[in-house]
Amino acid sequence: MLELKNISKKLGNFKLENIDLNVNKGEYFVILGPTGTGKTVILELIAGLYTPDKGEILFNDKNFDKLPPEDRNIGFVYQDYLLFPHLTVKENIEFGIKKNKNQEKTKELIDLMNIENIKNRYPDTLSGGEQQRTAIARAVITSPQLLLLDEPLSALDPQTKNKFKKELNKLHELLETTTIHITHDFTEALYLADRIAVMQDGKIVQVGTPAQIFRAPHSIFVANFVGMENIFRAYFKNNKLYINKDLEIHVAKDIAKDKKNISLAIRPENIIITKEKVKSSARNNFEGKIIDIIDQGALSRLTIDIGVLLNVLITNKSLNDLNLKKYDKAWANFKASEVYVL
Amino acid sequence: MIKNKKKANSFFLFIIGFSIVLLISFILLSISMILIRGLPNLQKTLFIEEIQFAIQLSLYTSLISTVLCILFSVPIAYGIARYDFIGKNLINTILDIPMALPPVVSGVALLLLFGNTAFGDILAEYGFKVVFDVKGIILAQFFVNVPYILRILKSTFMDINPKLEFVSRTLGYNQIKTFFKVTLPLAKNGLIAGIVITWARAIGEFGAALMLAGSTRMKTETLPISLFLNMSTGDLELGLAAATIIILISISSLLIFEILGSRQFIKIKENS
Repeated sequence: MLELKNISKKLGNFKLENIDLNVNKGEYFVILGPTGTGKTVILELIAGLYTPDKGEILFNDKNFDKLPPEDRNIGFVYQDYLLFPHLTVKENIEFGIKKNKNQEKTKELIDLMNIENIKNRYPDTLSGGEQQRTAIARAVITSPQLLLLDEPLSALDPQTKNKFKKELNKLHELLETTTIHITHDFTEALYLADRIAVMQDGKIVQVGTPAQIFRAPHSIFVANFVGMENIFRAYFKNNKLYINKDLEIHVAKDIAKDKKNISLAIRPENIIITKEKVKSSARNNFEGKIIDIIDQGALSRLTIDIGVLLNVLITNKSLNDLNLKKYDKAWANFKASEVYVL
Repeated sequence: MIKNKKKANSFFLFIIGFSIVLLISFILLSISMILIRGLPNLQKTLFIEEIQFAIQLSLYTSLISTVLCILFSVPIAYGIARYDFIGKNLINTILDIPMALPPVVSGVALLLLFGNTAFGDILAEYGFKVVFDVKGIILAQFFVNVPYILRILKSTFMDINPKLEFVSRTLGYNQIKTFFKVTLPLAKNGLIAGIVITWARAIGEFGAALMLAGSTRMKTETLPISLFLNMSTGDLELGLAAATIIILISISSLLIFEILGSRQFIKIKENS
């Protein structure tokens, strides 16, 4: 439906390079990347604030670049919402309806976004959450073909954020508007996305379903970004894979022996801590010393030195049952199938 | 030591207080000199034909020149605030020149342009005679005041987030409609402030108008020209009447300007 073909754009310090993207009709597409990688510029190119230096944007196989923003039928929600300060919530929402303001539709959206009680207020009296609801209602009232959301949740406190994640999901199921959502938060992407594109330094480095990105990140950058904290360089010696001279790691996949620059990653939640060496299906078992325990509420983050430092997430209940303290010896166990090869 | 420090601090505060009191007294005293003599006779002088003529001519010329200032400054200020182009700094500087010149010099420049060139002759032939004419007053006011309203509007437009306009465009409004639906309402405060200041300055415009339109009694006699004419012929009462009216207009417009400058448009709207 929407196709970005080899788009490049330089804007001050930002640079987008050779962006290729395909977004399907009805899809919830998330662009994931750290702040300052030019994610917003992609949305602004699609919406027509800028024209690309190179490449083309196709919408339903028609060239989008020649159309002015007002003819693209796009809903845009900025990170700071950008409500019109001189208009009330209701007037903001109805802004995009030009003739016969459709009372019915406005009412429907006001009900759906649960903002009946604030509809006569001005934006500068609203909380972040209320502004966000208003901005989304304003963007979808024209039934856009494409909804662009620029970090819509990042200005909200964690509780409100969780609630809105669910609401965005509900809204998408209801309206089925093709959506491109930008974020730097992987959990947000995981929850909402049909597909994710990961961006690094103005380039797209991986596109896939959340599961694909989560399970099989293509690079150390992506692995880091999706929360794989234990990433190690590995090398072959006598047909065995080592990450340091004593630590042989078993992996489930065959790796070409001549592959250069192998990195292995293990998720902190996939490592099981035991006091003694145990017989289990996990083929990687290493003894080490716990050098740090950080209590994070329900979970604790534990660092164990097995020759390299491993980060492990463990429930506080297990930690109590094991009766482990800082500087205790323990075993770290993980399955060969849970070692990701990058 | 401590005593000395205390003394030094008190002296510092004294200097600040003393300067404020002295300057305020100076300003109020000098203005009240006119008002004391002008205000009691104001009602009476308002019925004198010459003063009535001067008031009418001042209102007429200042309104037209203010409208002209708006018509030119809104698009120019918007263009300079929103777009980057080669020579922008140079254009900005040129637009500021009339503000840097003494109005008398601007008046002479206009006089030479319209009175002494083929350009002026052609315009006069088609009925647009400005030299020693009421049209000259309007032109002089416009020339001298347009940089002021330009400055106010430039900073007003720059304070409006251009992405608000972009959001309006994604909602289906073209640039012109967006300008009237989003930009202009948000610029309302600056626009009103600019209009008030321009108009008050036009009412008081003297130097450039004197050079271009002259000072003919009951013909090109605006309030400041009336003040000038009557003071030079020794008719103190009429002169002070004109001065009083100018002061009243200037102070009220200053008040409007200050109120608009210190309050946000939305807050005013909320309170009302």
